[in-house]
Amino acid sequence: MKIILLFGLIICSVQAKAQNVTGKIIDQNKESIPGVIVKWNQKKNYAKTNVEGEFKAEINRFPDTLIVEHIGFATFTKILHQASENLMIELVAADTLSTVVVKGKNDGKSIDLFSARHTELIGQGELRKAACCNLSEAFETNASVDVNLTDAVSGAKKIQMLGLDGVYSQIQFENIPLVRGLSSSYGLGLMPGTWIESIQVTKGTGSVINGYESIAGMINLQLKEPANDEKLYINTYANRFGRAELNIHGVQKLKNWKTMSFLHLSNNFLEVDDNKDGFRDIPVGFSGAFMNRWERRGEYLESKLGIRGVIVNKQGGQIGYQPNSSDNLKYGMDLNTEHLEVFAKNGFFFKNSNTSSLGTVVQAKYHHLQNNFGNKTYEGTQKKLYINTIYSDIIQNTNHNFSTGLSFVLDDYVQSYNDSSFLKTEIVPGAFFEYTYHYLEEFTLVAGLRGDYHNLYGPFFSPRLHAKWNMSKQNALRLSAGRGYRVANPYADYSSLMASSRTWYVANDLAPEDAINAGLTYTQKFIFKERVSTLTLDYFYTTFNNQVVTDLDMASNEIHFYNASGTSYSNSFQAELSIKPHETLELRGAFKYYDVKAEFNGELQQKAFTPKFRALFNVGYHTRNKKWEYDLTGNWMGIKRLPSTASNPVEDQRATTSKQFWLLNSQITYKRPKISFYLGAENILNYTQNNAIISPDDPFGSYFDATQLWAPITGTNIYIGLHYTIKHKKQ
Amino acid sequence: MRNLLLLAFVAFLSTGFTQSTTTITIKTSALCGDCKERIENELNYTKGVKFAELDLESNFITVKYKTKKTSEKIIKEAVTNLGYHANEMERNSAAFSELPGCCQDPNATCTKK
Repeated sequence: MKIILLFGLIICSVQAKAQNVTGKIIDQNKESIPGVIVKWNQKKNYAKTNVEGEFKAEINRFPDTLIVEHIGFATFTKILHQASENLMIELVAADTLSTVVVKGKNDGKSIDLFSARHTELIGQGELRKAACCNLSEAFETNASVDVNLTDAVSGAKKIQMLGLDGVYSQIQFENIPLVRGLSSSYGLGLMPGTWIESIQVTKGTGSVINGYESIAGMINLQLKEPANDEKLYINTYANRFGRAELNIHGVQKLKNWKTMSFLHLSNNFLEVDDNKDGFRDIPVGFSGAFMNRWERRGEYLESKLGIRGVIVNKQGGQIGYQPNSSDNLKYGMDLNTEHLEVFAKNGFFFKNSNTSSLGTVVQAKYHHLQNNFGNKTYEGTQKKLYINTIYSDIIQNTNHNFSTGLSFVLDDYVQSYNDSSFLKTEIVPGAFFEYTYHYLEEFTLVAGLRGDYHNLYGPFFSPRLHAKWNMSKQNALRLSAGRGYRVANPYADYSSLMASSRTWYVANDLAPEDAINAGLTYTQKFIFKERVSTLTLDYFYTTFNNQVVTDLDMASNEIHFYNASGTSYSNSFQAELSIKPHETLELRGAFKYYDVKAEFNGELQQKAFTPKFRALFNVGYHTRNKKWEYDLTGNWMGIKRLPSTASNPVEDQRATTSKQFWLLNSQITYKRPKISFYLGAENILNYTQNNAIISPDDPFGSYFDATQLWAPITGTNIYIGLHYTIKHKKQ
Repeated sequence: MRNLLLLAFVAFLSTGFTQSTTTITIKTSALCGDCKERIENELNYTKGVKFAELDLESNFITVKYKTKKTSEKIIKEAVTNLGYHANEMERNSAAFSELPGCCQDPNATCTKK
């Protein structure tokens, strides 16, 4: 019976008389546009406009929606209730840039094909795949940024890009310096993960606008802004190791201003010693952070102001260690940090020009740290002033853009290591010019030059070039080349290496590091199972002049920092494939090869703790209604070279290479409109490094070393938490 | 005999659990990721809906629902009440004016990716 009815319906619909719809498509100058696709909502096939811009379609069933989509124009839709003849449809030119931006972004991870630099965007979806806790953990599912533990007592994590230490990547938020100077060792831990809206990761040298420093890459965070739709957000987190966290953000709207406040509280209550070496695997203690930011958008002036503060008070070391107690027999580690900064960004637009704008960025900060590692003490204070002004305009038409401006950086350092003190004031004024050329949408060239004058080291010239070519709509070939500089500060940059009895030897008058980086990136998008898949191949080469090497190979109880006299370079290759075999399933795999060499102990060899091969995979699955999300991430770490311990007594000697291993993390999220719950596990295979600390029984003796770390020291971690969000109804 | 009983039990179970569902597609007027989130969040938590997905490229919402619990009309009304067109049904203009700027103006930049 049903079948007969169905047949009847089909016959009826076929018999309905087709009616004609005709029309013409024109642009704003009333010129006809040929070759435009005219689609329908119900009707399967489409029509194309002829040379005169005219189209004709036969419609069986009304009402139907007519849809006109054409590159460079806003999509036009019209609901037709009956046959119509001679429709005049005027397409409005779309702001091509904004449409590209909207299409290029998505919830998870994406690489867009249009910008001149190879930039990956890590969005909210991706950030929540690894729910914990701060910026150092935000890259767990990203292949371009590697995260490593620095030592076995501080629990701090550091990043690497292109196989090069994190200090060679410029880390900033909204184009304001973030992890730099004294915060370079522990700075990633000072930025709570829930404050981050998205992260842009650019491989290779960055724009000259942001300074001379980005050598291996640039990481720019977009923090949550008052303009976004979260009215109130609460996040909690707790894990097996006794870490509990609370994050609260909220937006308030005043007459002309919008303001957003952030609070982050974290505490580690438990002394955990999984590997039974008598040392806390993770320090205990408190860290807290707050931020208050203000935003105002006027017709000619846009202002963003903010204040941010952080306090860290952590104690690691042997079980039972108490800071400031009279019992000095226990090895202790104290990490104390106070950080306060204010920042202001202003954007000016001009009445008589709609193409030019002027932007200013001002940041003033105070950073104080006081670290103890056993009987080594390191204390430092940094006062910083950062000013950058950027003027942008076009030259004749929008195919030629430029940005130019002046910058000023003042860093005042007071540091002391054990009994020696160091005072240093760096004053660096600079100027830059960057020219961008667009040829259609296919080709973009960005050429930049900046000059800085360092009060201690003289002039720095950093030329940079970026080019992008879309050979077709589905691919992009990018070239990047540039020069960058860095003034090393070993005590701050590598302070976690103080967790050993190695004696520090820092060469006097370290010259600034000078590097040239060049790279080639190829991105191909293709259709697999009706969905877009992406293949990315990249190769980057970095060569250093005067690289400040961290030499752990001269002797097992010494650490040397000096300017390398010979060659030091890095070759890095990465292949990444991302496919979506089903609407609900996303698979990603990456393979990395690092050839990072410098002369250590007079011999050209692979940098210690940097594996030659690494791999990563990520499986993301969500139910079709998106109520449940499952994630599995695997990190494979190849064999690493380890510094020689041959001069130690036999029981304190270790192998000269590490073992290869897998790290598996997984998370399940259950989502409701306002609330979502997550449950996750880290290091599921429970892989740990045996005897990670050398000579743990004699921490004040001459062989103690907690920095020879190449694998996790804690076993499987289980964590649980929730996100609760109340959104604004209207913006 | 036991196998037969088992078979009968399985058959009983499967009839008990199979509810008639149907899948429809609805053309809408979403502009950005924010719109997508609004529409999917609303429909996925609407009674009777198994899942709802919006493809921004084509602007079609695919909805699978239990025919006993809800209907195409109710689902389309849920979309129009959010401020978006649903096939031939016009959007609720009051709801449209309540939407954030990026969901009203195709040229605005959207904060949601």
